[in-house]
Amino acid sequence: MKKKAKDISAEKLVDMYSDMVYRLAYARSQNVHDAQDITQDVFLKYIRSEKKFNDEEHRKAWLIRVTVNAGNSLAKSAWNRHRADISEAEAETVELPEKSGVYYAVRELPEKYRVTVHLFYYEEFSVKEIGRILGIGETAVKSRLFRAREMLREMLGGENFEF
Amino acid sequence: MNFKESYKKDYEDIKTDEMFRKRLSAEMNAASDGRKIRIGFYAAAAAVILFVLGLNFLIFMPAEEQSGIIQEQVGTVSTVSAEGLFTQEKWYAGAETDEEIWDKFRELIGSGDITSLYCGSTEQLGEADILSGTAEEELCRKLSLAVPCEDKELSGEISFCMAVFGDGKIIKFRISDSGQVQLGNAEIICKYE
Repeated sequence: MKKKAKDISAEKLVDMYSDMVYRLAYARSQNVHDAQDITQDVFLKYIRSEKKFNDEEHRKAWLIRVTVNAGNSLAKSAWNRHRADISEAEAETVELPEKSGVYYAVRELPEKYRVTVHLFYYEEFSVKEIGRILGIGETAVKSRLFRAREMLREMLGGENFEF
Repeated sequence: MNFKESYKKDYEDIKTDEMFRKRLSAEMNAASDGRKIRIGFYAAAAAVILFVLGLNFLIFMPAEEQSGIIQEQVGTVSTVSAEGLFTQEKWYAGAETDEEIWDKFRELIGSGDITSLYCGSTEQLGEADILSGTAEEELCRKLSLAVPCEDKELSGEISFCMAVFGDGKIIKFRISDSGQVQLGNAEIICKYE
């Protein structure tokens, strides 16, 4: 039997879930500042909603869904659309972290594939769960994963990765 | 090489720092306190209105009625206008066109910021069900993906719904059992699965 989720303090919630939310936001935006903005937005929404959760899985799924929506809202905002041109121009000068080829290959995937890849490989959600979170069918999730793997194989070239 | 292991290793280092977490916790606590203060203020304001209305009723009530004599014709009771006391920005503020209003609707309904979602067969909220848990989330998720359709009016069984958000915003809309959603009497109707 699943344990009913208790009300937890802001500090505890942030400790438990801020990295998860931040990582997903980063996977979506590929930008530290946007990831921080999204994370802040998600946690403030949480505190304002005063939502009751059936269990910790329910709370986690809610936070992930709100993170995805917050990322979509930010991407659609007028400010972000305007800023996109400047960011592209400045991209050459930004120092990227030292990571493996996998990290940089995933970076090159379209946004919707990046989010799906992150939820599947990092958060280890099933195809069905990802479908519910993103509001799409299981077939669409499978198709995104298939396309993403194809693109990654191509980008990673000679390296023989097991997906 | 295993893709999953490599990806996980790269993303393990992508995390929030101590300073950010502390600031975030402080902001959440401040937002929570602010909410409690607002609720307290609204409750106090409502109490003041009721008190003033009651007082006016007593002051302007004819002496005969105050003394218990029932009259057939009752004089006009002066009321205090409450306009502006609960000023609340419209939920679609800033959206100009129908498309922008629908975008705003989809954004809000999918935001997860809903505190109560009422749905009933009449416009009277007192008779409406309050959706919660999976039922609420499922409906919100579907509505957040609603797309415009050619229908000119709702068909089938209609439910009157009201979504109340954490920041006080309220959206009233109607849904039908054939998967249509209409905002007020707006001409555009959307469909959801």
